Amino acid sequence: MSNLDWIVLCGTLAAIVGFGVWRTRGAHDMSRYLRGGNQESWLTIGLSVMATQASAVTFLSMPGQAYQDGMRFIQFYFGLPLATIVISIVFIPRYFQARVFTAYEFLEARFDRKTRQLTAFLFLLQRGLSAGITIYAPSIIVSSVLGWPFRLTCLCIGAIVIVYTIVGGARAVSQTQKQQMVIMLAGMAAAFVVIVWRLPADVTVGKALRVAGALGKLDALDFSTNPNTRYTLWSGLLGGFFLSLAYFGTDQSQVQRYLGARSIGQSRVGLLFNGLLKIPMQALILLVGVMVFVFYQFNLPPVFFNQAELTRAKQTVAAPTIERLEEEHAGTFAKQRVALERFLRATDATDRAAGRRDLQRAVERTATVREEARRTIAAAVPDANTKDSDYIFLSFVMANLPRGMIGLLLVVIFCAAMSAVAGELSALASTTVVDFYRRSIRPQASDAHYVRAAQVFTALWGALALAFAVFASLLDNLIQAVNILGSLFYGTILGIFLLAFFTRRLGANVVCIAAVLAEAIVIAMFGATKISFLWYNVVGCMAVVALATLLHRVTTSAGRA
Amino acid sequence: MRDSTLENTLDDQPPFLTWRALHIIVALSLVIEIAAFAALRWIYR
Repeated sequence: MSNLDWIVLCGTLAAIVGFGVWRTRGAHDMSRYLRGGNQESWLTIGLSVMATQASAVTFLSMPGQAYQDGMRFIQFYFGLPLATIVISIVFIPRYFQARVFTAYEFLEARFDRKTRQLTAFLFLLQRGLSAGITIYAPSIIVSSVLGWPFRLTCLCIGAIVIVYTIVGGARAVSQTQKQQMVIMLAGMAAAFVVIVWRLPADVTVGKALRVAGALGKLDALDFSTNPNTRYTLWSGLLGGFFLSLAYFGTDQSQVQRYLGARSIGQSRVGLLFNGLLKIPMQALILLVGVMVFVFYQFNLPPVFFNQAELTRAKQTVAAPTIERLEEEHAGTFAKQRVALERFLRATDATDRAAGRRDLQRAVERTATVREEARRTIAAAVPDANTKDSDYIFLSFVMANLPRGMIGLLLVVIFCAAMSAVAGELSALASTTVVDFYRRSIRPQASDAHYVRAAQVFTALWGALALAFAVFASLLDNLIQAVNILGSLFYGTILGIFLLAFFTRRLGANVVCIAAVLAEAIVIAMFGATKISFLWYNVVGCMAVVALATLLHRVTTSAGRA
Repeated sequence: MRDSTLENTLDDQPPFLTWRALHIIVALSLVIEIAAFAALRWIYR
C-alpha cells in the first residue's frame, strides 16, 4: 500500500470517528445515551439503518458472489421494501406511543416480564455472537490479502468502535453511521467507474454488459418454485418479507436506530428511505462484481484468488501440479480471449449465437481448471480455506486500482465493519441495561447510574465480540452455526410481536408455549430438510400465530366446560 | 420515559407528500426494479 492510501485510510477513519465523538459529547442521561435524545432527522435515520445492515462482508463477499453466481442474490432483498411499509404503519407508531427504549420492553406492556426477557435473551444470544463474526469475517480477509497480522486487524476494527460507542452512545453510532454510509456509497460508485475505465479502450459499458449477459451473470430473477433453491423470486418476496419484518421491526440493533428520530414522521420516512434505496444499492455492489468478472475476461485472473492459501499449497508436494494447472489455466484463458473477440465482433444474430456458445464453452473449460486447482489446494493443505470468492474483490482492488482508490476502498470496508459493530454493541448494551439490569437487578437507580451501566456493558459486549473474533478461527463449526442462528429465531420472535400488536385476548403463557413449540418446528426443519433458510422466517412466524390461537381456543373451551 | 420535547413532535406527518403516496412510491419502486432486472436479462441475453 502506498503512502497516499495510508493517508486516505487513516485520515478518513480518524475524521469520521473524531466528528462523531465531538458531535455527541456529554450524553449523560438515558434518553440521550440510549436513544440519541430523539434529535435525528429522517436522512440520518435512513442512512444509519442502511449502515447497520451493511457489514464489511457485504462489500467483500457480494462482489465475489456476483463474480461467480451473477446478480441472483438481489432477490434476497425483494421483500424488504414491502416490510418497511408495514413497519412504518404498524410497528413504529406503537413503539413511539409505548415510549420504549427497546423493542422488547413493549412485550411486557402487552404480555408479561418473562415474554419480554425471553425475546430479549434470544436477541442477546444471536446478536452477541454475530458481533464477533462482524469483526472476524473482514479481519481474516483483509489480513490475508494485505499481509497484516490477523489479531491486530481485529483490534484495529474493534477497539475504535468500542471507544466511540462507549463515549457517545446511540447518537455517536447514528452520527458516524451517516458519514460512513455516504463514504460507502461514494466508494462503491467510484469503484464501478474505475473498473469500467480499466476495461480495454474499445469495450463500452454496453459491450461489457453483453459479455456478462452472454455468460449468465445478469440473470437476476429465478422463477423456480423448488423450496430447496436458496434465492428465488418467491423466497425473496415472501421469505425476505418476513425476514425483513423481523430484522427491521424487532431486532434492537435496528429498532434503536429509528427510535432516535425526532418524531414518528421522521422515523417512518427514514425507514421508507431505506426501503427505496436498499435494492439499488445492493444492485450497484453486485454490478461491481459483475464488472470485475468482465474485467477478468480480458485480463488473466489468478488460478485461485486466495493468494495466501495458493502460496501455502506451493510449499508442499503439490507445487508441480499447481504450476502445471497455472500453465493450463493461462492456455485455456488465451483460447477464451479468442472466443470473446469473436463474440464481440459478431454482427448478425446467427454469428452472435454461435459466438456465445463458443464463449460459454471456453469459460467452462477455464472454470474446470480453476476447480481442479481448488481441489489440489484442498488436498495439499487440509485446513486451507478453499472458498476463494470472498477474496476476489479485494485481490482485484489491490492488483488493479490506482493509488488512493485502494485506500478509499479499504475505508469502505472498515466503515462497513465499524458501522455494523457499533450498531450491534449499542443495541446489546441498551437491551442488557433496560430489559435485565434496570428491570430485574437495580430498578430504582438514577439516570447517570444507568448511563454508566450502559457504558460498562458496551465495553463488556465489545470485549466479548473481540475475544470471539480472535478465537473464532478455532471454532469453524460455531461460525456456521452463528450465521444461521438469526434465521432460526427471527420467525418466532416476529410471531410474538405480531400477536402483541394484533390480538387482545391471548395470554402470555399461551404465547410462550406456542413460541417454544414453533421454535422446535423450525429447528426440526433445519435438521431434517434442505429448505432454504428464508422460509424458516415464514414458518416460525406462522407457527407461533397458529399455535397460540389454537391453544387459546383449547384452554378457553376447557375453562368453559 | 421519553423527554418532554418529544411530546410536541408526535405529529405523525411526513415532511413531504402523504403517507399513502410515500407507501405507493416504495411499493412501485419494487415493481419497477423487478421489471428492470427482467429487462436487463432480456436485453443482454
